[in-house]
Amino acid sequence: MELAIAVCDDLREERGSLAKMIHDCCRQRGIDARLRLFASGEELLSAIRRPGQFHVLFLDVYMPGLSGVETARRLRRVDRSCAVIFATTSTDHGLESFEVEASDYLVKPIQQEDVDRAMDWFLEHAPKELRPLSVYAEREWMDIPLASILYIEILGHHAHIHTGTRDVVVRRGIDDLASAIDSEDFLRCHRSYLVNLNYVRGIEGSDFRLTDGSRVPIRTGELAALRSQFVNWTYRKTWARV
Amino acid sequence: MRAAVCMSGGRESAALCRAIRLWSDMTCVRGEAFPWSPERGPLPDDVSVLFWDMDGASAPPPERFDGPGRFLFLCASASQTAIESYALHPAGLFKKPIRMDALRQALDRCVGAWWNDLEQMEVLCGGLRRQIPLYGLLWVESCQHGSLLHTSWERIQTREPLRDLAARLPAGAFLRCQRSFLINLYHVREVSQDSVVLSSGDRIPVGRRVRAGVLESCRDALRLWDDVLPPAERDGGVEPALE
Repeated sequence: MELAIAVCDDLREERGSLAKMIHDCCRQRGIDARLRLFASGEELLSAIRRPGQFHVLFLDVYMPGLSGVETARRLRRVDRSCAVIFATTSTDHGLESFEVEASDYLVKPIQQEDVDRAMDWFLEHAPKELRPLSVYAEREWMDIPLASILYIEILGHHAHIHTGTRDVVVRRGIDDLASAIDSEDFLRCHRSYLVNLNYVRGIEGSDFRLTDGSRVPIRTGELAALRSQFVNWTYRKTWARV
Repeated sequence: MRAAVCMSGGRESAALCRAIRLWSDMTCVRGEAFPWSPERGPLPDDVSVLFWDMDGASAPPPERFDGPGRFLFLCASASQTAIESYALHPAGLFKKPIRMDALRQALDRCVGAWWNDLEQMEVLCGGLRRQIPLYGLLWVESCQHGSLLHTSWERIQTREPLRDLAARLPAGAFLRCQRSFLINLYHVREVSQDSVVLSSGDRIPVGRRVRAGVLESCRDALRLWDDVLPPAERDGGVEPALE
């Protein structure tokens, strides 16, 4: 998985030092991280194009122009999911930091272990779409992000994990995979199929039609129940986001 | 949803429990709130929300109170205490004295995780049985071939007439404000001379014949939230024992 991380601090030296610690932390944990550095709250906000663009934001409080707290307030109007970690010399904004649902508050001078602790917490509680499924395939262990799996199909003794870019074949049963995935986003719609409902575009006849055009069959005899289950899932999912 | 409340004052604990119960009643979220302290014994396993007062607490709250559907809320007055509390990774922190709107916002944020505790209504829509949590049902209007349900996310049409839907909804939480409209009292934000405004911004007209009674009920619903959580200064004097 690739983490998108932003660092916003008006002092170049502080930005660089924090970026290095984040980079080291991610490297030690085998995480691909894409870092972007910003010198002001205004610059950061103008770079945001969509919710979820950054998974983590390290944010200074005292900056010329918009303060870090005000930047976080404005960010929250468009993005509720980004983990905001304040990184500041001030200890005066602890109560306000909770108003913007910050994930952590680091007081400068920041040490490597502070960054490691904050990142470990984030990774442990990362949104489900960032969670991986660990499988042994092609003679090595690999992590497949759940968000990239369209559906899983059982053919003979093998499970074919269909992602948007490739198919991974593993020797595991569907019950075992369903329990490892443990996500309400995945529906066992057939004895041999597990489908990621996030990719379902609609129901056609007795199949789920996915966004890439593929079809996943639905158990005969349970079409109505599974159809209702899918519609309720859609409602629940969208409603929980509001 | 079960909420355990551990505040430094017995009166504060009791008030917070009352406020949570009121929220639970008004939102149709099955739940209860009770005062708790470590001296009373271990925290019950089925507690889903823990409110913990950081001021004057003799011990830290139970470690790792997290997981799906579990939320730790801390209360504090000082910035430094708030910063230190990040080590506990709470779901939120209230500045004392706790404001009712802050409490409502915090509980509203958690509601998605308590799906099984939400009272729901089943409606038939286009051949599908839909489960609609009452919390998310903002208002219902009568339409040509049944009713249109306005939820916090989408509009759902059903053939069931408004009269029948009204009979299935809890009377204390929903109100028929006009022959063709039914509103969720929890979502009422403003009351004017002839209409009410909901949290979604929708303005719903109130029928002439029922106007006085409906507007009074809506104002009562808004007033319910006042004074549930008294300011700290009223909390002076000898602290009563926990409930």
